[in-house]
Amino acid sequence: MSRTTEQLYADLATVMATAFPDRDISVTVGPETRVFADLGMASIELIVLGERLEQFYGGKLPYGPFLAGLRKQGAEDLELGKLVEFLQSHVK
Amino acid sequence: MVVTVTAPAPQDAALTTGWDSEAFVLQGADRAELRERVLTLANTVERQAGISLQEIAVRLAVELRPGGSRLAVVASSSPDLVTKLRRAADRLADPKCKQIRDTNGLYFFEQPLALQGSLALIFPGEGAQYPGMLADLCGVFPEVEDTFSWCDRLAADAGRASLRNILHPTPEETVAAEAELRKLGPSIFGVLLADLAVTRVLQRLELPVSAIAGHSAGELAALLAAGALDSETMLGPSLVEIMDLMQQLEEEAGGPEVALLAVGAGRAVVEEVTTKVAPGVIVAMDNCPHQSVAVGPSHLIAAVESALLERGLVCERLPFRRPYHTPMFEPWMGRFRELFAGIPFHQPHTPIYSCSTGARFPNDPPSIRELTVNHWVSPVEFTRMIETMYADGVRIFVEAGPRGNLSAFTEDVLRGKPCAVIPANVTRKSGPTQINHLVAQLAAHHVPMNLVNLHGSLDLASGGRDSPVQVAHVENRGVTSPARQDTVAIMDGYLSVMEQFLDTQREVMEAFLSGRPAHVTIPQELFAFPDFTPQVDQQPPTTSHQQPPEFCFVGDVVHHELGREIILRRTLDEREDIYVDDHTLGGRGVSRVDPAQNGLPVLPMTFSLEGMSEAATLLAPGKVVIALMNVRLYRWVPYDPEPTTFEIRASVTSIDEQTGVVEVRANVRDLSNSFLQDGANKPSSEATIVLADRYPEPPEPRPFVLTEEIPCKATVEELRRNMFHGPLFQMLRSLDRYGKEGIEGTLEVQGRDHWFRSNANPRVVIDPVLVDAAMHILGAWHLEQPDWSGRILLPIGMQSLEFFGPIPEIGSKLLVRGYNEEETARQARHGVELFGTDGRPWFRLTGASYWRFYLPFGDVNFFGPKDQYFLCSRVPEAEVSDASRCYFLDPPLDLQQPVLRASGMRVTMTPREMASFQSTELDEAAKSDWFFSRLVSKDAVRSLWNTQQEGGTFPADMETDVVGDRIVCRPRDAATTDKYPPVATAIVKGKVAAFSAFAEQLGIGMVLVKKGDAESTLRVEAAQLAVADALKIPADGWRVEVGKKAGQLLVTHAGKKLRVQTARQKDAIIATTICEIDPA
Repeated sequence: MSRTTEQLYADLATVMATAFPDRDISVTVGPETRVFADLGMASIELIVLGERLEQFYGGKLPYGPFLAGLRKQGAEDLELGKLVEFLQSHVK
Repeated sequence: MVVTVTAPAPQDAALTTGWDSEAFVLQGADRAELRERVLTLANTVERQAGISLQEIAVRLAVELRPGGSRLAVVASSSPDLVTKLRRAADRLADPKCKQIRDTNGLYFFEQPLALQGSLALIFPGEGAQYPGMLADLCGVFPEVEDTFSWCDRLAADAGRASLRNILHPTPEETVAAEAELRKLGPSIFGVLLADLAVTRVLQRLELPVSAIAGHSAGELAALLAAGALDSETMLGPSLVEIMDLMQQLEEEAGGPEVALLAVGAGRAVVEEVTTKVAPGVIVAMDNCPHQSVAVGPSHLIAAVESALLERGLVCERLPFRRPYHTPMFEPWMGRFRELFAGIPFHQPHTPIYSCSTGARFPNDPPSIRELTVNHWVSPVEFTRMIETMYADGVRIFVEAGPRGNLSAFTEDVLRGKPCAVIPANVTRKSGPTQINHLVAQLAAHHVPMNLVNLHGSLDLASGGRDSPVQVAHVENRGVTSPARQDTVAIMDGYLSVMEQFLDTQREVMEAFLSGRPAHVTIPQELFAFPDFTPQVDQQPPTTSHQQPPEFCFVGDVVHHELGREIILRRTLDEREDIYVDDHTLGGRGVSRVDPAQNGLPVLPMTFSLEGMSEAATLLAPGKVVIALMNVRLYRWVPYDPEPTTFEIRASVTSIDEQTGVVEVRANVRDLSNSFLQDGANKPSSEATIVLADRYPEPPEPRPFVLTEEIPCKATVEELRRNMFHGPLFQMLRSLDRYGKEGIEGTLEVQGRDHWFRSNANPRVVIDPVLVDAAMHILGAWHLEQPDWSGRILLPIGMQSLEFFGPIPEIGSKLLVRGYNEEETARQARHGVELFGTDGRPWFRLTGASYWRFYLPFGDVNFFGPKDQYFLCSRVPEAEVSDASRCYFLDPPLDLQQPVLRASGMRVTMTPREMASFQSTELDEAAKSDWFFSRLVSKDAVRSLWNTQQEGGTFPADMETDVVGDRIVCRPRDAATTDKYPPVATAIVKGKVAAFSAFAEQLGIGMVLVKKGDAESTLRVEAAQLAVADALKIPADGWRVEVGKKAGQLLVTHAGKKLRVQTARQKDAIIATTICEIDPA
């Protein structure tokens, strides 16, 4: 059974807290939160995040193609909602 | 990471014209007092609507003293400040809270890093640029505006458009500016300007900078900031010249074949893939564990990209084709080196780290220059450099330039370690706000700085943002001095402790390595490798500056820290190293007049490996070398007529205390040679040497199944004739059987008594001649192939070379097998196994990569006999009759590289010609013209002469001279020039054509075809040039008509129609004439 949206947000919060333990975020996190503009992440950290998500879920995710798709669309930032949608499609 | 309540959303970057936020640094004697002050300020601001935030910020800055507990806040409005202060107060109330790092502008560190380590500036290079960078700082910091204005002035002086038009474009121009900024010249220049502007802002803060480094072109900014480059010389016309040159180099160097691939993974992952898929691809930038840039021919990059994508990795093709930071850029380095030769360098006042070596720059100016220039052909070792800086005590990195890329890289490199990496500029925050974030974080880490000076950027003359600020600033100008003195004292103390620690650790390492107890008692946790005790060596401890050991390739020990690192130097002298007479690039026996004339002596790759292995063995005495891994070969090390200095550097990278296995990373280089001038001082090869207490058990042989196996057709003698190795290296005794997958033969281990003139019993680690000789079996495999195109193979690297026992006895007859692992158009990858007398593998080589050279010599074997071969292409269509010859050469880039060109000279020119070449001051392009025009002329004359003679003529037995404006050929060392037919030569943009005929008057003309040109018009032009050349008069608009023969034109001169033969050769139209009059 797939994980619920709420579970995925909770997962994301756990993974981010583990991956970037020295960061504090004072914004309200939601689907529209942008990883670069709002969370202050760098693009490399997005790669790190993908790596940690794979570790967390214990399997490969098509994270590279996901990011490549965003780039093709000309996206300048990644909203957490989109990331959660991606996880919803690929995390069992 | 803590996720909490709502705060005002951060501002996106937008062009502002002034301060849009303030940095507030609060201090308390301890955390409790700090919290009290935080709450007090929050209450004050809340109560007093309209209170000046600037005034608060400056007053706080003025009150700042060393020590205590600090909180820094960046806020853009009173409500924002209050929200953040209250949040901070909540966090500070929680004793579990050790730090606050909220990128929206809240910083607190219970253990500030300025008390734990030092601060470094890191400068970004190209790639950091973006349109509009720092534009919003121009109105805030006069020095930023001044820097960009200087750019305007420089452009005006040079009579060109200012780069600022691209750097700070109007909204309508942004897209075009972005494209322009991707070009190498503007990007380097633009980022350098931005780096300098940021540096000037940082100077205002008086930061205690203890180290400086740059990434790629950012090294120029680093050198300027450290005082190693003369800013007055550099920041003038030279800079424009460098920018122009870089742009030109990019346009010339890039080609459709070269591609760059950014990969969301570190070097190890990328190299793992390239080793399997395309060993020719180079990791040109090792930025961090999650980003590297691979460079290589497009088709190989495509293969690598596909393999990486299959692994789910993020890849992105970069929109340019610059093979810089790879040896592929070497052919364009000549002009760059010439340019830098005229720029003075100085001893830096602050230590600089090199992104080529990952270590500190040397202090002497010539070495700094060499390393700086060679950075363009050396991979960017950013990861290694940051690790070194961290190991040297840097804990705070400030990125002094635009965008913040390096900060992301650095954070990634040091992930999990205590450090602060702070960009001075990012694209997602306004310039002034990011400066405030920088200042806030530095202050929170207790970095001593002149915060008041930051506010001095206000227009004090007009009262600044608020007049109280001015008063506060003036009254408290002196407050920073005590703080700085205190910090210096703290840093001195810290450094002293660090030195003691390092000394202790060094002593412990020496003790363990030499098997004696340490002199001092130190806690176990300081032991990096507590169980690392050698099993065998019981020699007395090694000390610094010891006498050279007996290994054959070790000269002077320049530096030696046992168990850590070693630097060795030895002289490369052809008279002493007589083995090199048998290793001559270009071939052997190239002259009938002087049978001893050979190609260019070059250091065999295996001797570089021997040198590195010896250095590694000195670092871990008592251990044996069991493998060399990830061997990379970047360039040849030629032997000069005069001795040169060869350097080996090695350092221990890991020790496995369980197994006793030690890994040493090493590289070698010559410090100068006449071919590369100051370009020599860069690694020529590098490898990881693996040592252990004993050799591993020999493994089972690799599967060796030969489909359609047949006995070898080529003989050992034929193989010898087709390789450039002399008798010392000729150990193969039989070539037995071969198939598609490999080849098998035998060799005999030869003595080592004739390697060196003064050492008949050299002590070796791997026996470099035996290893080299075993690899000759691969040459035999290629000799068996029906297609010889691209069979000139030169090694570029190897995945691993493993040893399973001591060197076999001299006289042993051993089985050797070569494996064909992969063959592509540009590379061949092989393996070799050499079996001991017990029939089990003694060494195993895997992933040996060879670059396939396609020199334009048709079937000619570059290493074979030259009297029968013509090195250039004949163009019979351009010959007027059978009694004439026309040859053409478009010198390939491979052959224009200084060392390969030199080897070509050694096998085709006479000693007098070579001496003449050496004594003539020419730039690289002129050197190529000098050599190739003679080479092609010799081919034309030899070819024609051979129609009259039995047997061939070696090019090196024919001497050229210039009489008038013509090359003339004569027998070597002969005074007369009338033996050989005359020759006419034309050179256009490096392409050379030569025409020889038994005729009194002969001429040649050549024009290059450009897209859209009418070929018939160009043939007319070339024909007129040929007649002018023959008659030695300027070309004129002579009438030209078509002749009867294909390609023939008739040029009317003085009432006579002169026959001219024209032909197209690639993109050149060649015309030749002997001024025959057409009877019609």
